[in-house]
Amino acid sequence: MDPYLASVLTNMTLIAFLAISAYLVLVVGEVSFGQQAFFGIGAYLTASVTVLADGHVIWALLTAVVGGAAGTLVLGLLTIRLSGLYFAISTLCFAELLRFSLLQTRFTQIIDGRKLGPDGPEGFSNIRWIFDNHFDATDFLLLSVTCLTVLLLLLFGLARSRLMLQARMVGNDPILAQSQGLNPTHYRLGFITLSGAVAGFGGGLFALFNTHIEPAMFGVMLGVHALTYSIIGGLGSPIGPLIGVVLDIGLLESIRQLAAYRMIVFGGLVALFLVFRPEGILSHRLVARLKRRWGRRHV
Amino acid sequence: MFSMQGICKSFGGIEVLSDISLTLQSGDRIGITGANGVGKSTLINIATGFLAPDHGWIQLNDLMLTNCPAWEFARAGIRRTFQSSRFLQTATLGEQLFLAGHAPEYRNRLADLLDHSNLQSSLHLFPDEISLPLLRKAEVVRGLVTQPEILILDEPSAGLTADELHQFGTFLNQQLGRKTALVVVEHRLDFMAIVTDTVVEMKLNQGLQVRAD
Repeated sequence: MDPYLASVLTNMTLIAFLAISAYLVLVVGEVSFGQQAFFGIGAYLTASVTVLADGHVIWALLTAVVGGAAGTLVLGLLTIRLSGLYFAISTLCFAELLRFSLLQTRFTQIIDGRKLGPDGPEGFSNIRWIFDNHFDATDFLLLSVTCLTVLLLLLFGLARSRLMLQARMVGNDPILAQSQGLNPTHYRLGFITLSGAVAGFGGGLFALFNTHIEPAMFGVMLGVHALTYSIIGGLGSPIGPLIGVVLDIGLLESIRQLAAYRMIVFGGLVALFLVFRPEGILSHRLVARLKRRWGRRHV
Repeated sequence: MFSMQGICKSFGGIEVLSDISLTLQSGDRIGITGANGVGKSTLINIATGFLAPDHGWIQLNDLMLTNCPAWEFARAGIRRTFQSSRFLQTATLGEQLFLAGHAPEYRNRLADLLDHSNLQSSLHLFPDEISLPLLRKAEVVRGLVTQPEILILDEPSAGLTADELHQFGTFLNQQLGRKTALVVVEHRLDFMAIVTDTVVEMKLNQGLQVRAD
């Protein structure tokens, strides 16, 4: 496969993890502007485990998952009494706090004559896992698509489950949820933690693919984009955020003539969606209709 | 069985409830009426855990519920409906009723309730595609399927015609069962006559002792 195409597709796949992570928070009715920080945590942890500790990539990604989940769990516990605007602002602050911490993190070691490890704003270079294991662009694309597919299958299972319906009830109408005996806090913490795990994993793959990471990569705009993918794609299905990713990165960023206008076009697109179809392309209603048409059980 | 005693509640220095007591035995059917603003909604919100009382205590069987969150009230068996029917708008009615009655021990009850409610043909619809009388019934089905100790209805007559209200009352009478206690907060005394045994009137800033005769 053409390496450029492969790298664009890989990029889309990796950002999809972040978009799904933002989607999971939206399910429980909250808006997070901070998922990029947990993506960053995953990236730094994976880089540290593979480069500094010479650990196996499985361990590295597992560490990223646990690290991302732990980060969001802390955020969730800190904001346990907040919701709406206040929660959103807190996620933004928390994410920036983490990014600034990464800017201050210097832990370099000389290994085989190379300076390795996180080096403040310079970032973390020489993450050589894909070179050491002779992965080319296509191989890595296959790896990340496989991981994303597995995640999507898990999410489809979740989407059909009682748990998801309960979480949506918590997200849409916490009073109704409580009147049905559901504790909103449990669902919120659970989904927010899950979102961190997904972001961490995606960040881990991102670090392996990019071979160099730095704090500036995990800025607010990354998180804002991740969030808007669900607004465009819709919350009715885990496919929703993917549609947003394909539209933004697949169409806008990758077509070079459009790339310069990406922010304008994409911002306009988001604005149009918010006005004309705030529930996104794949709304719950549309998904239910499609299921009905394909003869699935109604209830 | 259920008892709340000496309940007081003020909002910003204005006392809404002063020394209200409510005692329910299994199978009691009590109506509470009263002018606007005497605190009927506040009373419901306290009895279901959505508001914490300033004074007083709430107990169901041996369980102290004072200051517990609303979801614990619901789990303990105190279910309510809302003045404006409350459903998740992004899921079908069927999904929501089957969610409420998902536990194996409730399946038969749910099937039975659905058979008697003419809701079967609306299960695949979203709440905003369903008529108000059916939604009111659906709310009762959702509440009764878990065989609660107490079902509290908040102004079920709102938006219903006399005929619809009568039908709703008949349905409620048929399905309530002998165990569940019923509390109805309502203006319409004709409806109260169908579904309740005792009606009490709340008055502003007056203590109230409610118990079935």
